[in-house]
Amino acid sequence: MQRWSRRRIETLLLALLAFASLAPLRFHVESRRWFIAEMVTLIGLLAVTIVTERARGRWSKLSRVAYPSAASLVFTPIAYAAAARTFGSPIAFEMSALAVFGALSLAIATAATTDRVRSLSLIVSGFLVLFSASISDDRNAIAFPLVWILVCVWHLIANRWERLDLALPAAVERHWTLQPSVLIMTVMVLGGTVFSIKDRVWSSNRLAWGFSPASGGNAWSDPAARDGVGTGDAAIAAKDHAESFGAVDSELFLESTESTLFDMFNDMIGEPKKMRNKWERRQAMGNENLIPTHEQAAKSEQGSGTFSTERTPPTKHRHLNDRVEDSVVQWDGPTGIRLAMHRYDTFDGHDWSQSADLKRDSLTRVDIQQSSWFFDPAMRTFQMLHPNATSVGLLKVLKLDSQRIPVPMMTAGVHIKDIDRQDFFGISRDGCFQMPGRQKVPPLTVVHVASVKMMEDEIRSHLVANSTSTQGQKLDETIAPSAVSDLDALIRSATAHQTHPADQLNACVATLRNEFTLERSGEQTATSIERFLRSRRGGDHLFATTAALLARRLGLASRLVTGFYVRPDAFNFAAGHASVLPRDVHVWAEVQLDDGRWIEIEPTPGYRAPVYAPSWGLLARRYAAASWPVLLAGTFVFAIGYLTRLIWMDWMISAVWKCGRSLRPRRRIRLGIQIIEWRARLAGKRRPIGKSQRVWLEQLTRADAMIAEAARQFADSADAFFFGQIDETTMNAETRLVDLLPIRTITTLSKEATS
Amino acid sequence: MNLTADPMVSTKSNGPPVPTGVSSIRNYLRGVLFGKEDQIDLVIACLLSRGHLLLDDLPGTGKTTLAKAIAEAIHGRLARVQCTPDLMPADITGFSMFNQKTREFEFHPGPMFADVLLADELNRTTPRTQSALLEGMAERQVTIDGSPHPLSPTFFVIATQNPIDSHGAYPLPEAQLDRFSIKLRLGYPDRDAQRRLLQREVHDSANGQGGNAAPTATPLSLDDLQSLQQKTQAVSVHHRVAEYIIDLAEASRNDDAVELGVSPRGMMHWQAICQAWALLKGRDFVTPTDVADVAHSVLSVRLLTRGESVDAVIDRIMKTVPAPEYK
Repeated sequence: MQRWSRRRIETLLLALLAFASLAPLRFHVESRRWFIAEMVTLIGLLAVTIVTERARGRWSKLSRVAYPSAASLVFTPIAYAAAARTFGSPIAFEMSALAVFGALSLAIATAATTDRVRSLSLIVSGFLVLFSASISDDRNAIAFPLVWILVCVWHLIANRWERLDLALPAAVERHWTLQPSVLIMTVMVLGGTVFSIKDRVWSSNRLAWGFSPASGGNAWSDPAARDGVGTGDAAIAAKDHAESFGAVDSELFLESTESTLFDMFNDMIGEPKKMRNKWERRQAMGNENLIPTHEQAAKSEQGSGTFSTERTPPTKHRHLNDRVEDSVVQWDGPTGIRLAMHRYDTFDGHDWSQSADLKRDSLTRVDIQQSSWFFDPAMRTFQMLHPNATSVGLLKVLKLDSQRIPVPMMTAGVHIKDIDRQDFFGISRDGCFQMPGRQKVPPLTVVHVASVKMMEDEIRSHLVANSTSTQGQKLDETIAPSAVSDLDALIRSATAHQTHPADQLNACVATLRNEFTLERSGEQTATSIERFLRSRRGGDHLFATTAALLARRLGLASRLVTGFYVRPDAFNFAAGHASVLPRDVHVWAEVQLDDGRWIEIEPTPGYRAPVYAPSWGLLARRYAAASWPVLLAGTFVFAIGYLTRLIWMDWMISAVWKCGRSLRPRRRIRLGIQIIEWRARLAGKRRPIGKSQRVWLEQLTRADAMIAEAARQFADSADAFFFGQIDETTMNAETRLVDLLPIRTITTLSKEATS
Repeated sequence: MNLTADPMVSTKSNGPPVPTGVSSIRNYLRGVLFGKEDQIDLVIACLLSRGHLLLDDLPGTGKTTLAKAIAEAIHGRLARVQCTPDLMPADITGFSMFNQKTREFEFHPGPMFADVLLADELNRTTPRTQSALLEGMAERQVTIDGSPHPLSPTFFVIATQNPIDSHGAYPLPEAQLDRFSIKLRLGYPDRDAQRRLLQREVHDSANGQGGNAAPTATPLSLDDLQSLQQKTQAVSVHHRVAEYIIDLAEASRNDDAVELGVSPRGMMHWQAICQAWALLKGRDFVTPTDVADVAHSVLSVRLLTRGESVDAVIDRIMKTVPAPEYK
């Protein structure tokens, strides 16, 4: 009989964990009944092995069963594989092989008599858990090997600690003072690592190169793997080996959303079962009977003794006019954004119009992964600079009577599948994407829109106020003087403490959003900018106009934009897109940066403001600017505390010792030696485990004769109290040493001893 | 380290009092063997614990001198056997001889009946003769012609073996090794001791004496020694110290590099040596430090290692097993 040693328990646990990692792979694929039966048998055999092997006394004969049952553990998956195949629901060969591995590691873990053999179980279960995770499609499968490795590392270290400890060089003492710096470095390195991969953890599973541990062949051996699903011949050929995992080695398969061989066959391994003895046939009907709505099919069924023909009910055809929802466009991408249709840069006091000519007939054509993209040349340069900041959204045009394409701000380029004609795309006079030469964008066109995200840092560095801006001065002529003074008053009150144009602009927009009320219709609704500034109520066009004018008064070039607002609640998760309705028409403003780009501002309350994420550096600078006194004081206090840690820790320890004055001698000595050991540990002079406290004290204090004498007396009295037969009441504890040995002295003494 | 013998005694004077008998043996031996204070203490501890001593050393390092000095220090008879391959068991135990006059067998005791037996180069004699020593060392009696003969109550064996020139030698069997309490290596004296050794020779020749002159300290009687040995047995061993010895012994048995660990008899020897060591330090109780102090001498005689050197293994065992703390 074996004891329940820690090694044994942990090895068994690891083997069980490895086996458990296999279960999710098999459970959904195989016949449930066979799978559960196999698991129950395995658990039963495992229990029998464990119980019988511990049998003793009257039942000791039972222990003879232990080894045979351990051996039969290994053969159980094979037996089940054979049986299940015979009865028509075969188990994949690979899965049976892996299950044998799992059972083998379980058997070794329970029945091994020596640690060496038991280690074999670790190797087998380690292989199993890694392999299972590598072939699993579930992104959470990584948890199994992680937990397994954690437990295994613990197991290895805990059970072989003595050897590890001895392998460490004896001359190197553990140095307490190193620890905080090592800790900080570790935290920084780990934090940096996590930060650098935080966005990419789930982004791609592509293997750059190497061997994929699957049996479906690789790019050289299997045409299906080489060509993807391809013509289908390979898929049909692969049907002969349906137990295979399918080809997963090529990039195409890993990245493709098409079904893989594995997906195609994973629900029926082997030949599909014949569910019924019937067959169907579609039969053309005579011309004279043709009813177009019925199509031209009927269904005939021939059973063993029956034959029937019935017309197939006509499939319901859906046309654009049948659609239920009144969407203008559908948008698959971030919500809470604006899709721009028209832009206007000139304001005459009442109406906006476009005066600058930004028209561009030919866009830059770039072929990306065999699809043709058409880029705005100006934006293409920025997009090339920040390839990671580019995001692609899908726009489906449904009922838009315009040749313009509604796109988000900073749109660099567009792409329509299979369209590679340069003359289909262009930029209109006001700078909006359009499909020139046609009345409207054809309905059901799906446009891929690549837009570039904007960082707040860029805005801050590129938003430059131009005091000689002509737009701002023109205002005086176009709108009423009272409105101009209202605007200036608004700017003054909003930007009282701001100097940077970005901050000033934000403050103005915030004022509009907070102090003005959106009201599309009503008695107090303003109709002109002058009345709006007085009543502070109006539609979104007034908000946008006011914001554009405010920006101009700040010296920034601005323009008005009309288009659609994608409501945050418009996204239909089931359909996978957001519907933009006619009532989502919206007006907002844009401000120009000094490099020519235009950024959106959203002055209307109730509409989500555009997100310009600040970089970590900017955030840190902001935080530092806001709370530098606290940071500085905190750092100072921390540094002082760290530098003087030995002093105040020594104070605290000495205070503990002072509290122990009234203890009885035995307890007092116990506290005294504990305090000396604490101090020595703080000074980096920990007592080695095998060294008796007396010898340690003598070696520590030998550099100073007076302290050495005190140490000898302390050790003498401690020896007498703890190992001699002494009456506690008759003898005093010699604890002078504790007062003589503060941390400083220990450090000095050990330096003198080594020099 | 203090190199002169006398100041060494004086530095000890501020510690707890050492029994007078012990200090007199110690002074006697220190007057003979220079610069070997620690080894002398171990030899005395071995004597007080009624154990036997194995010296593993090169020729000319003072083994015989030490044996003679011990015999003199306790007023005992010294017998010396030079072990050779043709030495017979009867040569050391003694034999019965027919006396023509009395018409009876008379027993002629051999060297084993002395108080101190020096068995020089024990590994050169045959295992048969080596094992003749066994009964005497363990039981303190020999059986000759069926009748037991008790040995001296203070019977003390000092066996030596020569680590070099092992050709044609019979290494001592483990059973015999385990009967020795400790193994010592005297080694060459340091420079100062060597100088004093040479000076003494000059001084003695001038006095017309010569050879190893007896030191001036007063010797001990055999009765005194016996009472000291009884005192040693009375030194108390705290149960935690005893458990420490058990821990160390078990660690030596479980160590991978050890083929044969410490036997229970070895543990008893160890404890006895610790008791004597405590007495030498003037204490009536054993501390963990005593256990560690004598560990090398006690373990080196009875650990059989694979590949690794015995000293390294002992160091490792002492490092890994936690010593009892003041708790």
